[in-house]
Amino acid sequence: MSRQLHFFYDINLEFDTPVTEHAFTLRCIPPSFPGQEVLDVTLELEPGVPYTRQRDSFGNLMQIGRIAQPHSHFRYTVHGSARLDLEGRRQEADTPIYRYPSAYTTPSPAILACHQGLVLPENPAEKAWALAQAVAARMTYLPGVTGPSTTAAQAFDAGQGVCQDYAHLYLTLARLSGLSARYVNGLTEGEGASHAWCEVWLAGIWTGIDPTRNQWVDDSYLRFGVGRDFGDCPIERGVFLGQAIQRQTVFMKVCQ
Amino acid sequence: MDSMIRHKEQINQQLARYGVKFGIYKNGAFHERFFPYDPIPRIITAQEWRVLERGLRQRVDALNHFLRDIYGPKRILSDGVVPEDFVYRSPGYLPQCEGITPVGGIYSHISGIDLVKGKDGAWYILEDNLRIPSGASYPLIARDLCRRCSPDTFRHNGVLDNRNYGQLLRKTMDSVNTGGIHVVFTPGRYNAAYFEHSYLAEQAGAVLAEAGDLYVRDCTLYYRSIQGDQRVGAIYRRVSDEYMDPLTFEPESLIGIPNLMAAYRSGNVAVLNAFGNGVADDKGIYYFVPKMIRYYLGEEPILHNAPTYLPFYQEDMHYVLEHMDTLVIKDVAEAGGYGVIFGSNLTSQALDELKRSILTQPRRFIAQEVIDFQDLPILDGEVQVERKADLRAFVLTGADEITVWPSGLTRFSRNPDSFIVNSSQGGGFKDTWILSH
Repeated sequence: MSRQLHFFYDINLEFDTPVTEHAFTLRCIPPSFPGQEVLDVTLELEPGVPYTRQRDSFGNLMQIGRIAQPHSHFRYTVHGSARLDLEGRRQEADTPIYRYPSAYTTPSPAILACHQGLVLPENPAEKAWALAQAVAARMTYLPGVTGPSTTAAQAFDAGQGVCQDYAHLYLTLARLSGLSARYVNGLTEGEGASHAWCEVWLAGIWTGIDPTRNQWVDDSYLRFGVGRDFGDCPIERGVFLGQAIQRQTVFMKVCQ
Repeated sequence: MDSMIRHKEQINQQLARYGVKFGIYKNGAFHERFFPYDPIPRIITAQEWRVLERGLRQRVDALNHFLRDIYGPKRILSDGVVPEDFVYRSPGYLPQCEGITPVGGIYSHISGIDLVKGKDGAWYILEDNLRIPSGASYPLIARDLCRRCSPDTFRHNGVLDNRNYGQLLRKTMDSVNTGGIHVVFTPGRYNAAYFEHSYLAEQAGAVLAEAGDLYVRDCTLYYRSIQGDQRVGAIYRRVSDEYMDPLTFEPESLIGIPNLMAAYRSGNVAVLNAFGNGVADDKGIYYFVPKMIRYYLGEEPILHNAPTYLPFYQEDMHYVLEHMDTLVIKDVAEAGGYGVIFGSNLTSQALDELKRSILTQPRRFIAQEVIDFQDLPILDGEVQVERKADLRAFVLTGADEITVWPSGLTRFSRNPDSFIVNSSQGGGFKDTWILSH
């Protein structure tokens, strides 16, 4: 069983006054790996500047470039198709960094107390599932409360957040429970915005789990990047010169 | 020697005139002050220096092996010599550097190794500084002024000339340069060591640059000059890792170079020192350096660590809790003489609190025996008094050789009861003479 997905992802950053010296790093092209075969992909940039491809230390594809001239918007559009097949996943060696806390996933006393109160099964897969239930029980999905720099500790205190916060809280608890777990971002079938979920290293296979939707990941999740947390693999990061106010519009569509 | 003492005021005036300053943050405000110079040099004989030189080269060699290993195959972890906890929980370990090999495989080009001489005559390593160790400029400029005030002193005493530091730095940069100019990169005017940055740039024939002067295009670093943009082949940066590239590390950093990491990863520029060195000069990792020397080089360490205990190990925890009042406890996350606690100075209540912290966070602390180190004479007004002093030796590692600068920064504590000599804690410095005989 496999599923072929067509994806379209379009981000437009508008600046109310022109900016210059805009350096960017994108991680907006899904890579191919066992279980995810990218059949074709196109990236378009506006303004149309050249970019360099690199892989970061987490294995993610990066597109790196710079717009020196004044510009009032920066738009990147990626589209293509990919074949997803969970059965195709291969065993991989564990990476110890995913067992340790990171900037976004450092447990606070409140999270430690919560973790101590959990009764978890011994079996790693059952444990991974139970942790997703624990996150779901403590969090309410509500956009606008948290932001890109919100840590798991802050989101836990708020009890509210979006997929990024669910993922960070899940990772914090999973690592406290002795699991190797990593942050994933990408797209899922449907329309809207990008999504974040987690992967847990179970019997040698990085197995996806989505704490926001409280379900195991299936063939409808297209992976862009992985890392210890959001900070390692943002889809777009940039800095520029100028005092502009930035407005971002996102359009995303994934269908069979 | 008498001539040196006579010139103390003259030298200090000259240092002031040349702006040899040290910045310090106190209560949130930036103050600049002169780094007091003491005219009585520390003297190291040629025979003693030969041992120090060999020992320092060996240590820095092993530390560079360790860094290559940690950001590569990690054999020292899989062979169980260093517990992985000490690497992966170290704030200086940067996974963003995994799999990147710097030019020539060198991570720590400029290493500042702090030592003290015990009353038993042996030298002990206090700590390794492999990120952006500062201080070479002070003895360098002081020597230069001394030679002007009292040329005879250096004619009659066989003192090794130390004025070649700039050339050594230049040679080290040349050996890893990927084709382009040399740059010394400073966070700017309000940095504690700004004087040193400008001085070293001048001495090494490098351009002094700040954030806006450099940019990355096509994974290559460029310097904007009035003659047009010039490619940079080696950057001696005096900015901490986390502020160096806002697109890889701290996103709010305004003193970094966006996408510098991409140029570095491509091998298009040498960065001195490399990123991620903090994992090797962590106070917790210090304990393992003698083991690294045996592991990577198959040699016995020539220079010794201060006797150190890791509460992380059960037997050490027991010893530390029993002997707290005679040990010095260091918080591994702190630097610059902060977070150093002498058990003997604590009230019994504070001692109990510290014990609780060690029990709950054993990985955060190391404990050391207090080394009874030799006092050095300094002039307090007209009177000669004895004060605690250490030595920061500078070890320069290029693509093909490791050189110990025949000098160093001797820092002393101005407070008679203090063992802490860090300049940020208000100490002074003196010249270090390495004799040719």
